[in-house]
Amino acid sequence: MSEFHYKAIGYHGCVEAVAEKIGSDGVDAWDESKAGWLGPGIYFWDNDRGTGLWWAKHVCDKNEGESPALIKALINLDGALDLTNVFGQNVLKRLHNLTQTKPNVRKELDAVSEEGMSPIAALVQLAIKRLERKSGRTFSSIRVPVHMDETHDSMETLFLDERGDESHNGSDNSEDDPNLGLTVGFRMVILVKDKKVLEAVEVQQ
Amino acid sequence: MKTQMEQDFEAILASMEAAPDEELAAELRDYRRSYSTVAKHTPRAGEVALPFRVKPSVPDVAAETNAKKLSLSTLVSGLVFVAGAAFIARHIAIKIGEGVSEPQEYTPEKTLPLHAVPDEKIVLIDQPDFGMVA
Repeated sequence: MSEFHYKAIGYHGCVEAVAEKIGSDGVDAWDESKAGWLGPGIYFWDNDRGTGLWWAKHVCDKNEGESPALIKALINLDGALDLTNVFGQNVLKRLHNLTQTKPNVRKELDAVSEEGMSPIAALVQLAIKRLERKSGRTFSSIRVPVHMDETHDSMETLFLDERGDESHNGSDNSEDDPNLGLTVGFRMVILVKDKKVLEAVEVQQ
Repeated sequence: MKTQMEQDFEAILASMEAAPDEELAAELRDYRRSYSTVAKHTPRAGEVALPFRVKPSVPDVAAETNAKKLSLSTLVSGLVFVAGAAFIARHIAIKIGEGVSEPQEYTPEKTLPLHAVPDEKIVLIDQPDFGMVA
């Protein structure tokens, strides 16, 4: 049994010509992004139509004369590497720590960054490659939270200023409660590495 | 309790943390180069299958020794061949009325071989500044 069961709606922003091709010829005609920030594959914004549209316009800004388009997909995330849960977040932190302790690694990651790829994503891919070599395990997709400087000033967790005020949630035992806050300033990205996980695709008008 | 995937992944993380700095850097270098090859349409030095043979860093001692052992017969036959070739070349040059031909300098091709570039259209766009959230 797979260890992760989840289906997501993903939005892929692109130029109209690409959307028309996929609409007429199907998923098999979908060329993977080879210049992706998290590595090769097809990128989706997880349940985020607005960001999908924003991305489509962003792509068109860089390709004069093109019109933006949006593709909606039902994605089966069984077999995904989920970096949004606590385990995944700890993975990212440990990988980030490598950049602080290994100067040659840091130097190579600076070069990776110049190629337009996330340095931490490169370390994620390195870990996946090692895992594939060791156990033969592969991931059909990767799900990861991202922060974008272009669309957010910062990422923050929202607490009431009066956090010490026990009346904030009406509880008398607030010291025992987990210190929960709502977090803003991030989006979720799904990188599909195996097109078989795309169960349904629809070109949006 | 951790899943098998989590246990496997943590073992990989531990191996990366324990790995020598240069070993991990070399893996990253290989990854970056393979990524560059597929992601960029413009080839760069060291990442293109240039049609030149790379000189081996360790010299072949046996081959060098054999190369120095020229026999007298090889030397004489070589000299005869060179003299013959020079005579014929001069004769041909005179025949076609150009006198003694000037030595031609070799000019390497300035353009990279096209077959070394992946034959596919890739639209590169500037990526926004992403950071993964942890």
